[in-house]
Amino acid sequence: MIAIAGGTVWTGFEVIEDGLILVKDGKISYAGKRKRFDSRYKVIDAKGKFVCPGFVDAHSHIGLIPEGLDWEYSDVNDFSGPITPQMRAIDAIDFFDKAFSDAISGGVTTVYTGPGSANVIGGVGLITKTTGRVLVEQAALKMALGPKGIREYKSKESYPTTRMGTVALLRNTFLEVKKWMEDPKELDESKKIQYELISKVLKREMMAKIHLSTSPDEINAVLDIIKEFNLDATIDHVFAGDLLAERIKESGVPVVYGPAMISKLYSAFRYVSDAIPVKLCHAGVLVALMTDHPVIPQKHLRLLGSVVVRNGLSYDETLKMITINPAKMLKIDDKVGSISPNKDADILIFSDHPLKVSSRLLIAIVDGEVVFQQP
Amino acid sequence: MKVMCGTLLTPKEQLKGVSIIVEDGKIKDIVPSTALPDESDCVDASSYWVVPGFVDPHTHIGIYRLEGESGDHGFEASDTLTPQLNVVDGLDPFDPAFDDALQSGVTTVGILPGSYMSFGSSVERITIMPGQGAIYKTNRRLIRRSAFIKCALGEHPKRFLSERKMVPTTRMGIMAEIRSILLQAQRYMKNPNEKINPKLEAIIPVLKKEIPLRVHAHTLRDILAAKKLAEEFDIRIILDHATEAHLIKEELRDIPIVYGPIVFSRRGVELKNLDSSNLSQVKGLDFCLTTDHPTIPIQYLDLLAGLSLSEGFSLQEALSLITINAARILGIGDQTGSIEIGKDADLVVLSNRPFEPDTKVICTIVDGQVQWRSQV
Repeated sequence: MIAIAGGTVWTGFEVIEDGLILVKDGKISYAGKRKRFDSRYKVIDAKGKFVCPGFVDAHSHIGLIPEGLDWEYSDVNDFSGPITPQMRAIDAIDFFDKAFSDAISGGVTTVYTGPGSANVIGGVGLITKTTGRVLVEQAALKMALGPKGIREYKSKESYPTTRMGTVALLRNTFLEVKKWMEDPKELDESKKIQYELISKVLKREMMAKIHLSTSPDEINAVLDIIKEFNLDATIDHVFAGDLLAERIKESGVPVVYGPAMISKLYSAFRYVSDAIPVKLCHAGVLVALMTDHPVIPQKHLRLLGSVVVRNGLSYDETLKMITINPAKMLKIDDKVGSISPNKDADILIFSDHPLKVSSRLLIAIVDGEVVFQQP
Repeated sequence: MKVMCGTLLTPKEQLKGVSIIVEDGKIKDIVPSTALPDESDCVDASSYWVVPGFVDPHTHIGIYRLEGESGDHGFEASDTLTPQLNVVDGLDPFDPAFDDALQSGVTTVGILPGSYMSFGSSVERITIMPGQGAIYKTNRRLIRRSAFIKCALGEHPKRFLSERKMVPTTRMGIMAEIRSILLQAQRYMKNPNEKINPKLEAIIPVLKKEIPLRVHAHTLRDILAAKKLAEEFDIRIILDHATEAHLIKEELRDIPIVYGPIVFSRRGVELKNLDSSNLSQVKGLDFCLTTDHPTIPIQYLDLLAGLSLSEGFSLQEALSLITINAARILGIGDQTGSIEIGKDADLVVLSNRPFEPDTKVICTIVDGQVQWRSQV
């Protein structure tokens, strides 16, 4: 039982000055104005400090691409073929990777991690606490746009080499699975596993995470597909999102921007602009940020928030993009992403607003346990 | 020109209510402000902060152009040692990164041959000695053509050469090649009758200590090898990246370091100890920070330096990491990097304290000219 007493409490919805948070059995039992509480609580004095929910990274590859090793140790992209929904992050993840404890030292307490973007349908990602407690083992089916090129690997099916080809393959796959759902014919086991997973997405039982939207045509195509197949989806990267802000807003589809702080070096990244999340937020789109770890180390999620502030958004709107917004779009906002009763006690205590680069993380609490303390 | 300052960080001193008098592109004087802007050519920054223009000693601006065509422009892959090449001869002055730099207060950049740290591969594409680097103001003025020669140690050249089926393919081989060309240049320098050799000619300024050898080194052993090389040939070196410098701090007291980029993937074994929090451990060494643009876009140089504030650096120390320290390490500390009489008028007007994410660049002055002004 922990009582976090005093300080500025930023709950995700409101700011409480001189607040009090009571933690019991790993959950938040009270969050509000200071009041009397049982003397059995272990008190953490947060006077003069900034208290906020643990950060949520909506898109990463933590535990699948190891720290300090070369690409041959990476497990994100399997070139068995362009359609590989059967690949599951849970089968490859290394919870002992140094990146997890590092992420905690940066205040990141919940993450989505999953397969990479080499395939059109890459596989199933998971949502976990950075302490290793898995929240959702099969959280989202990962898809990726863009030309997939000609691979050196010999797979049974060839990879599409154009944007059109990728979209066509995705659409054909959905149509085939839909037909099978209406008229379930015998399939060989490996095909059946694939179809069953894709059918979950078509029945909206599983979320689709659609990646590599790096240009306006790709965002248009993905919005068309989401509409045509009535998917429960997020669009990730959205590197041309500002140009289609109105259409994205109308679609109601949430987006995950980033990673911020990457350069426009490749021609494929010519639409990159760290002002995109600002414009999308102003247009009324639900926006979260990503590190795409290891592209930017996961512990620097809040630095990417600072980048968004630099590009013109307020501190508090930006803080939502790494707390409550990703929790909402990952459908775990009943557990994490805010400080309110009955939620998991994932709480950070900073010396100042976490999006100020000078601010220091002093204490991180996950599921009611102190997991990080500034030495 | 006169720049009326609210708060001036030189960065050695913090002054209030002073004006900077600029003449012929130089800082002529720093005087107490008068009540009102009294000249037509006056930048009224009396409600703002004024700091020196930022300096990034290690970028690839204009060599790897943003939004440009793909390909390798930073090194000649036909040969492992090409000290006779100079980035100036392949530099695109229309790279939009120059404008990104101006808009974020960066006024001076070192531009190096070789490659940048790319997320997409374990191997930085680089040869052993890719050539000479230059120093530019971001108004595109070239201020040093042959400012240094770059070389690279360790896993990156080793693997890149091996991928290309080139030799050498070990650390021993790389050091042997570097020693060999330095020894040849030593002999060449003493024999004026020898036939002109452009490669060896290019190395003479390094042997004469007129310019430094900039050594790309990440690991402990490569850092130590670089130090030995400097002692053996009595040359000046600058360590670039120096990812594991925190592990041998005591050995590096006299070697200038261009440190970073401190925010990057721990991609590959060489970077396994990369961590922005190592800043607290390298404190006290002679170092400055870098973006390695385009690894981290040049416009975020100050945010990288801002991270030092949470590692125990003061505001002035943090600012020095991207101003005076960087200029001094580049060998242009008498020309830019701080706001002192006689130096180039490279000034940044900020809406508020430096390093706050919501602080805006109001205007950037290079060589006494306003090069960029915020629309707001």
